[in-house]
Amino acid sequence: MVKFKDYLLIQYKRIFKLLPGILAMILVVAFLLSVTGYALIYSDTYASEQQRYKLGVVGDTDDEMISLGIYMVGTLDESRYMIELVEYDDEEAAKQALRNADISAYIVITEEFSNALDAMTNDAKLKYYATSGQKGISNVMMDEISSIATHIIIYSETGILTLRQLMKEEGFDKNYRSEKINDLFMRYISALIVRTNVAEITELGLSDGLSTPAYYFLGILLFFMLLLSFCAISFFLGQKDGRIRFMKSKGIGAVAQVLGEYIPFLTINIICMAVIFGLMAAAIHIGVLDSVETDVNLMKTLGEIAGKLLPVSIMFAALGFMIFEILVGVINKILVAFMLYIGMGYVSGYFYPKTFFPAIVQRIGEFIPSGVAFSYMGGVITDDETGLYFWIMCAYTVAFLGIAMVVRRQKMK
Amino acid sequence: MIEIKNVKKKYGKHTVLAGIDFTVEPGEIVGILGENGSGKSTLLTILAGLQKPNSGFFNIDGKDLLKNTKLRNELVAYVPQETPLITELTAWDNLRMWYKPDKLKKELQDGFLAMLGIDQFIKVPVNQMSGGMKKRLTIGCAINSNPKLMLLDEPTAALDLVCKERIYTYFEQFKRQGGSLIIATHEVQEIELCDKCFILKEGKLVPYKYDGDIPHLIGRL
Repeated sequence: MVKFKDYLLIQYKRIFKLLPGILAMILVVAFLLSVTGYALIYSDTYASEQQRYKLGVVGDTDDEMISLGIYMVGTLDESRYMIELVEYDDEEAAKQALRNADISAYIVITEEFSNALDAMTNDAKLKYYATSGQKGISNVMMDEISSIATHIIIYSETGILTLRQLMKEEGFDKNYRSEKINDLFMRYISALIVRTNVAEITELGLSDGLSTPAYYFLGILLFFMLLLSFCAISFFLGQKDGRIRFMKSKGIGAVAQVLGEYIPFLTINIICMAVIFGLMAAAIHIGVLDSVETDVNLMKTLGEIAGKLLPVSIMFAALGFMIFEILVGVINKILVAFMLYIGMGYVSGYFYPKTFFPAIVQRIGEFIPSGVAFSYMGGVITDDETGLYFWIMCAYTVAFLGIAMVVRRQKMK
Repeated sequence: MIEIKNVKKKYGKHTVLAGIDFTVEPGEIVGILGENGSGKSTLLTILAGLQKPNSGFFNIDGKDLLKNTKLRNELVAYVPQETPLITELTAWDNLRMWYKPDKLKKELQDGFLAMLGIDQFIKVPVNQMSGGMKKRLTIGCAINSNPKLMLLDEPTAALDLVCKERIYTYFEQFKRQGGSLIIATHEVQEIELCDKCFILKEGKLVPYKYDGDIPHLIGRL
């Protein structure tokens, strides 16, 4: 009579025969995901959150008033508006820069605008151009920024010109007029519009109290854990119904078979995670991952979450096991699982902050296994309560294995 | 004595087995013939405990094996049509799951496993074996508990003549030691080995005496 222990041991022996191939595969996947994660965290999204928006200004830079206006916006209120002014003499150059995404928008200071300022009329108009492709938060911000910049320029410069005209009429010397007026209005503008220290701004992060790097780090990590099940897919390829039936005829039923295969499968997943964590720790140690400034201490984060990832690994391994048990054929297994993982990861906000999704999608994303894992790990990182998510993951694990056992029982018939 | 009485099996409204009755004496080989899809494999899987019949009895020496799972696992060996082996592992690894090391070594020296010639490829991984090797190894794994009855589903299909002969020699030896075999088959050579045959048709077993007349056999199927 064969015992469960014998079956378990033979499955361990089987999967360890596959381990070298699995590790080779995992290194390739890890490399690809590392490149993706690095790009996500450091290159575009995170970097764009840190940079100032570039606003093009097209106009005659020799014009004294225009230069003064640009100077004021560019220096006195710089930190508040988070904009960097880029001057262009030619609108075509600004348009090209906008198309190349070198700037976020540009303002054309027309000759009519300059004339209106000189004439002290109230019909001065700027022309504002921005791309129409994405009507997202950056466009909204740009509308606001350009509006503020426009008002600063118009009202302050109109004041300067008015006073200069009055002094001229009173017979003040030209050089004296310019010096005093400029000085006076620089003081005025400084007092009026510098609001840098009025409010203390604290970044709350993208979601669940996580900072931007921590959010994407977690998203990529969890998606990688989902993909880990592929690394051991060869464990399922030799699985034939004949073997299942033979084992059953020898007294190893569906429950014993599923558990006897799931435990080694999970072990391999954990070993692969340990290998990946080891590689990351080594990369941090030699300084590869610290080359870009970030508020995430990766080494500390790795150390903190490594042990806490175990329940997630157990649930994801059960999910992978169930999928591979249900589906027939290697192409089907890989394609369906990959599509499912991508969809789950997307809805649960692994690749893009979930707060941008409609409320119903967010709700679904939170309660599917990938979302529960994200909430759980988010809680681990921010030291919040994770008990509920832990038990939901336990329930999912039992459900996945239960379904796998039912499917296995059907295959025996 | 092995008794199979009134075994019935339905899938929904489709009746596969409409009451199967036969007995097998110790040292007897029984052949079950029939067209593809006639229910031969279903009958064997029920006797092997893979699925439950809607009704019926399966007794060995008066013990009900449909209810006594543990005893059935010991007394009945099932050899499925497909290979049940773990292909990444060697013959030794596969056998080791079913045999204790001492018993395995002894069987490989002068027991049934030696008779099947498994000792000649004991270190070969299954995925490098021929079909005949796999089938012999499968039988070797199946008989670990010294069973009284072997259920074989087309055991020598697609095997070469030498391999078939080796397996038939083992069947004769098993039979001489008092073991019984029920073989679902299409092979003429296997039919000739059988002490009695039945044709399974429309869910019922009909006794059949093979006399070498293949056209007659085909007509009966």
